[in-house]
Amino acid sequence: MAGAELSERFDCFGSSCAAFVAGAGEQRSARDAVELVRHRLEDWHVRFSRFLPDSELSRLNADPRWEVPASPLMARLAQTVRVAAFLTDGLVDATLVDEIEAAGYRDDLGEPLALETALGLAPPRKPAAPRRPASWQSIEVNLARRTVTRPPGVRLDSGGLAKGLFADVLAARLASHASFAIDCAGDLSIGGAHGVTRPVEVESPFDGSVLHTFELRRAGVATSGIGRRSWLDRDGRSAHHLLDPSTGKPAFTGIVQVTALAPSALVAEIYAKAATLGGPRAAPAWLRHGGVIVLDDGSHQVIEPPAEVTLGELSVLS
Amino acid sequence: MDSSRPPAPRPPSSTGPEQLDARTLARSRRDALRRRARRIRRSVAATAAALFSALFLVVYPQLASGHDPALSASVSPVTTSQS
Repeated sequence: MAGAELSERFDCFGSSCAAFVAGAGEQRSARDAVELVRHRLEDWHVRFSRFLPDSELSRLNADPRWEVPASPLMARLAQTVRVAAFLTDGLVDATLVDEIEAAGYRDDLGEPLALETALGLAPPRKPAAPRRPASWQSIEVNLARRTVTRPPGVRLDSGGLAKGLFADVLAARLASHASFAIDCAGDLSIGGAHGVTRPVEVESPFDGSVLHTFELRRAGVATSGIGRRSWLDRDGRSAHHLLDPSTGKPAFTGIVQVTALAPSALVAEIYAKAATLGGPRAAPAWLRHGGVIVLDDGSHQVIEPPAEVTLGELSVLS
Repeated sequence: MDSSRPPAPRPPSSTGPEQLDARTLARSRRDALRRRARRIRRSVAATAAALFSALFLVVYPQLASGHDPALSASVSPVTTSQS
């Protein structure tokens, strides 16, 4: 028996994170595993923050050299930035740091703009598009030598990609425990050796109600949208952190939130962002593993995970 | 006793009406016992098969939907929202 599940919720990444663990793992107890998650995330928050001038990410972004030595995790983040853009044909572009700062996101944001207000002040809706040529194409990562190569001035934004990556890294450490869930500021990694099913609730961006509940055993889940990190720019227009790479401006596509399911939290994060930026027509194609799309008018569409995933997981039990 | 004389041949066994009735009765009892044993064996097998089928029909949908009763550790729901 796995015993009672232990959990802890704490503030991190300007949001809330949590760890849920049941059963002892190969190397540590459930209590130690929860502590590990907390300590790692708090450490990574300091190292990967764009808002702390002495953080590892800020030093990489400010480094005048073309080739910069990096820690293994920083090198993986840089590689993730390139892979995310490649997989989405440039739609998910984490090199738009100049643009996000020009839009007004230079520090931790306070209370977000009410979603109804933001939508009322938003420009006409249109899908986002990639930038040609794009800065991400210049990034080269050598994981063996732990170096990141890019033209000086090309900066990386940790953003949601880092949270998905961190959730996956910690999930690998907790794989031998009976069950676990890591909530990395909304990006979830769910799993465990016993294959226990866990309810995953999707929250409405309008009123916080539960729009849908998935029952998942091993999965990554991520939610991306324009409701949480939003503000009014200098001209009184509503702005948020999801930029249209082609314009460098906040993207208003007709979608306010997408939750994506995927084999890992990082891939779910990429799918959720690509679906949000792609607009209502393109979004379902990004949710091949399931998800929920919430539109401007408050309506939502649930895409259930394909049946073969369940059957595949069943074979693991037998 | 005169040992030089051969023993007198035994008369053929008697198959009188009473003995025939006894054999028939024994055979019919034996057959009845066999039929009863077969009936009990069949009913036990049928009951076992029915019980197994019923339990399988209950457990299989639970397993297929991910609610394995052997893995009954209670887990907390988690919420995904924009960060």
